[in-house]
Order: sequence, then C-alpha cells, then structure tokens
Amino acid sequence: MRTIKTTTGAEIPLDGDLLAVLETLYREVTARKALDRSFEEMANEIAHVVDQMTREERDTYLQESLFLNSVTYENERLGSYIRKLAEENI
Amino acid sequence: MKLTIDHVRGIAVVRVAESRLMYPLLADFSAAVVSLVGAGTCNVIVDMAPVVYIDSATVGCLMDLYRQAAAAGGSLKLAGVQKRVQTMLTMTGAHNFIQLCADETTALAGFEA
Repeated sequence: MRTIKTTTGAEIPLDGDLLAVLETLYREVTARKALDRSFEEMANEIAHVVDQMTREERDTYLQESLFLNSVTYENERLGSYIRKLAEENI
Repeated sequence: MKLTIDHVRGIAVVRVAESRLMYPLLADFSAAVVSLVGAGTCNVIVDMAPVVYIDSATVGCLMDLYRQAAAAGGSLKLAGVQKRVQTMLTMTGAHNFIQLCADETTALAGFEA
C-alpha cells in the first residue's frame, strides 16, 4: 500500500479510506493553524495531495467522494421532505 | 464476509465480524438483512462493535436496509458503533434516520420500550 505526504510531511496511506484523507487535511491545515486557515491554503493542500496520486488512485477517491456526497445529498433531501410533511401536519 | 445472526425475543441481531466493512463485502451483508426482513423479522440490530471503518457504499447500504425495514413496519438500529464509523454516519446525515445505540442491550431495550 502506497503512502503520500502532505506539505507538512504527514503521511496518508492510500488504501481507499477517504476519511483518513479528510482527517489528515483537517489536522495538518485547519487544526495546525488553530482554525485560522484560508480556503486557498486548503485548496493548495488538496491539490498537493491529488498531484501525488496515480490516475487509478484518483478514480478510486473520486468515486468514493461522489458516493459519500450523493448519500449525504439524499439524506438531506429526505430530511427536508420529512420536515415539510411535519409542518403541513401541524 | 464474516457475520452471525441471533434472534432475541423476535429481534434479529446481526453481528458483523469484520474490522473494515466496505464495498466488496456488502453483498453478503445486505443479502442477510434483506432475507431477515423478507422472512418477517423487520426489527434488526446490527452489532458493529468490531468495525473500525466503513466506506460510503456501506453508508448507502445501511440507508437502503433502514428503508426496507421501515417499509416492512420495523426498524434497523446500529449497536456498538466505533468513533470513526460514527463520524461517517454523522457526516452523511445517516444518524438522523438510523438510531445509534451504545450496545446491544440498549438497542434491544429500545425495541421493547
């Protein structure tokens, strides 16, 4: 299993664990700057991480990310629908 | 996929014996729960205590199973959810629908209340 590194030297194992990437980005960018980070700093770090991936690895993480976001979107829509029903029944 | 199924007072307890519950293993897991619901056992507890990571496909699968159990008049609850698994469930909003219980005893009590 390959590992890549953030600009701060933290290692990220590329085993398909998307949460590990998010946790590392948070720790090495957001928390390291005591939450006072710019969107550009995070964008640059993400670009640095993605640049180290092979095409196959990028495909894997893109699919995982899309699925995660699609489930999130579905649940958000479902929640909105339930709230709307609850309001109509009041 | 390693899992076992017990029945406690009419409630099915599906015990997952994998540390990483991810896409390739989901077919067996899903089939087991769908089979339970299809056979009329629509109150299901999934004991996730050994699971330290789930991927997005697993969250989607759990939501599918939750909807199927609810459509059959029952419910699906998760027990013993580890911290990183809980993070995946809260990030996706799944925790707003699927009840997360500290352990199997609590989950069972919830069904019987």
